[in-house]
Amino acid sequence: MKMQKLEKIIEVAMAAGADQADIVVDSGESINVKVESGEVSSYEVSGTQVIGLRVIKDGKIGSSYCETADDETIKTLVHQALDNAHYSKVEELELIEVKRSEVLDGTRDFKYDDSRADAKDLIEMAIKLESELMKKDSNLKTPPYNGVGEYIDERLYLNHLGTKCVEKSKAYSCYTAALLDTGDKQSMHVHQSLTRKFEDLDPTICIEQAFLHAKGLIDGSALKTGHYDIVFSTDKLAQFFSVFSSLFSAKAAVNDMNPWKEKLNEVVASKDLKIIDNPMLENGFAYSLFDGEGNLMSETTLIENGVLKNFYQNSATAKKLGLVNTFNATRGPKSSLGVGGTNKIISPVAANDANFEEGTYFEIVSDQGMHSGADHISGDFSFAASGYLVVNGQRVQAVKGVTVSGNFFNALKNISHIGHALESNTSATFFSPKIRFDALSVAGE
Amino acid sequence: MLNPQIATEVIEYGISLGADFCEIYVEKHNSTNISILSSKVHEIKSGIDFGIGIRLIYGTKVLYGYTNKSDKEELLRITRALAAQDQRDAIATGLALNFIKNVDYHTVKNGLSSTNVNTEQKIQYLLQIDQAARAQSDKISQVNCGAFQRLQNIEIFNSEGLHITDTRNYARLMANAIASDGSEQSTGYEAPGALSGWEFIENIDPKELGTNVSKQALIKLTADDCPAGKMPVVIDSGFGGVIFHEACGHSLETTSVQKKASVFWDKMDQMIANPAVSAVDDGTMKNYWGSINIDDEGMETKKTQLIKDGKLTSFLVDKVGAMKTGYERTGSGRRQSYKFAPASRMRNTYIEPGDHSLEEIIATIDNGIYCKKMGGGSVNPGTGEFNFSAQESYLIKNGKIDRPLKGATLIGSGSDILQKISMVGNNLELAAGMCGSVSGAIPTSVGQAALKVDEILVGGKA
Repeated sequence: MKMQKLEKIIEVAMAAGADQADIVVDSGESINVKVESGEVSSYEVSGTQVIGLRVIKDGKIGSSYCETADDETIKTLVHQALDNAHYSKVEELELIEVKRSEVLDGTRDFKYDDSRADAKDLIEMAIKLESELMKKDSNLKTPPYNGVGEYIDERLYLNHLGTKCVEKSKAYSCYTAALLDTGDKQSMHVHQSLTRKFEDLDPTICIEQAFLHAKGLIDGSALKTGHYDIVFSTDKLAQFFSVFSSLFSAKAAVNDMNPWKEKLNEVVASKDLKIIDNPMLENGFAYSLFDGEGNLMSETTLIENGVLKNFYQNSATAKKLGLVNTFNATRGPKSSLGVGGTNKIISPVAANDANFEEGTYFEIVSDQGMHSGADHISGDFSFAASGYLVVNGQRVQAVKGVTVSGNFFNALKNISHIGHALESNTSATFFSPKIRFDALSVAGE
Repeated sequence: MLNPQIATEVIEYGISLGADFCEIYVEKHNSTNISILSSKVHEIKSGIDFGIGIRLIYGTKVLYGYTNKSDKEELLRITRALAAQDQRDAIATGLALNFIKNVDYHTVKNGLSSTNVNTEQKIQYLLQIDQAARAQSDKISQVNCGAFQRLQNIEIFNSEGLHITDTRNYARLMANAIASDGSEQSTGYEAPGALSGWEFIENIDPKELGTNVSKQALIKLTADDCPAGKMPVVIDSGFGGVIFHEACGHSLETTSVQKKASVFWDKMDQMIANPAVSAVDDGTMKNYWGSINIDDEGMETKKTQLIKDGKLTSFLVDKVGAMKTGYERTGSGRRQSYKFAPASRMRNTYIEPGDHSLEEIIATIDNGIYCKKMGGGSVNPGTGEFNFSAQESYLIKNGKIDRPLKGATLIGSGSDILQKISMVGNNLELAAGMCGSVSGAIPTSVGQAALKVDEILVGGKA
């Protein structure tokens, strides 16, 4: 969308009585191909934009959004934002105050170029994904999920002080689901490859991993009810931490909804645990140059030596808590000012821990209900899990039909081993070595 | 919302490119969300969504595109891009558009566009929830609540000559209380909703709602850890129906049946459940959260008997599902917005009531769990395996409710649990929720009377 058009919206808002105003715009184009039984079952193309306006009038915040930019809609957008501000409470600490004369452009060669994949190539890859997978086993059924996509995104920020930020990114994904059905037993596993360039997509790893776990788990059985050490796959570990991500939120702390509100500079985890957030990580898909207030982002240490060092802060939460701004403001066109992370990195230990694989642990590769079964206030969690029982480094039993439960706060303090090799989750936003949690409760037989 | 002449030209263009079917879905919706936190207005958000989705069908292949723009050139561009790989000589003929004025079965008094209730009145209503919740105990450390209203206008054109519009008003309340005692914290939550205007919210006593969420949080604060293992479970009415919805309902949608990805795809007219179980998906219930006048393919919605006395009697069928499976459409083609092609989806889904009182059901269990209120969960659509947490649960000892529990999770598979439902109560209730699937997040109701599952794996503290 043209900057001039957006500047005009700011002008209209200021002329209508706003004291301050800013705009966030998310726009995108995408192509998605799904293949079923050797034929394209779904082919989707899109082009969308959302414009989010925030105004401050008499210290009160109002926001509104729209998806078209015709004059009548813009008039309604501005009117709604000012009307919403009228009924809101005074927020003395939330200000639009970032002033920068030059345009901050976060578009980088490694994350965006103007080339586009040919639709025929996307279709061909989706067909090949399915056909190659089906060759693996005669008990495989048509994959319920099998496709390839291209995604182009652009994010814009500008405010009444003349600050302008822009960032473009491009991504490709391919995925397939191995659904094994032997008549009396079913097992399904999905795997995805996500890259910045079409030619880097790896359909083979999708096929291999999806089939490996579907096959591996179909004859799985429940563990005996008891306590087991737990090691998550990197995707599941990322999910485990994301369930409790509000623990790092200064906004949740300000709203009295963060149990760690009073824990800053206290021990909250094993002394070996270090977690940082790095928005500038080039191979991280959450790469971002500017935050939701137009600030230049930077690295933030969240936990070091097991001690909680920082929350994610924006300008308002930092003022409220009397802490420094970590420039982690988030704001989408449809959401209000918040805080959030980018690429999360858990530091590996320096040397190989020879004892990591010693004894028995339950390796979790699949879950159901990890989010819905968690209470991020009490820290209690309970979810269904599948994976493998590992004894002295060898997978000795496929496991399914069990639930794992515990308390996140206790689990963080009861980490027995941290690995030395950094691995990435599929979406390349979480980087961590393997972590072994002590004796969580597993309900099975 | 879209000039019928432009619609006609776009449809004719799609058909000229060889498509068997061409459809245009136009949507505009306005929404407002008011939220209260820390006894003050937290935020008021509003917005306008507008877009157009174009669907071309070649054989059974679905091509879908969408845009925020409504000019003819953009719509022709999307149509051309969609058909690029499949273009052929025209084989179908587009019929002339025939506007149908549909009947509105869900009239509202104070929808979002009404000026009868102003923002200040809505704020004052919400503050009563906050005050009532906090009045329960000084252990209530935080309360947040909100009111959401949406006005959705849709317009559908297709190459079969259909031109139809519909208006849907939604209203939903949310209340959440946090109780704290030392290092222990717990939450209570309610979120009733309806296909209605502000009058639905006004008819809910804010003090009662606030009191209820606080009581939930306070009960959990003193709850014991849930025992783990296989045991009989009583799942109470209302949101308890989420298990049937997730573990069985999705497997009855032709979206999964047509791919043979459902365990029920070849079970029509067969016993798939205990004879105590009859289940319905009904889009016609007046002003219910999951109701619609017409589905998002323009067909008048219906009441569909899914299971009768344990026997599978119908799937939920959309246009493409009908083409692929041969079953008749059930007015179940739904989508979150113009950004999604429609798919067969649930509306208000419930297990029909039986004869037993809740007390009678509980009295049959020596050692088990009573789940008064279910929380969220998930299901593997390929296998029907599910996992749900209980928001409020109690231990049953010797046929009586013993004490509150926390951390209860139910795990099983849809086809298995249907066989193990041995008693169904007489206290049918439905509850509002948002259902996520292939065509996005849509309003649906789940429901049931209290029911007994003879054996299910309960995840708790081992």
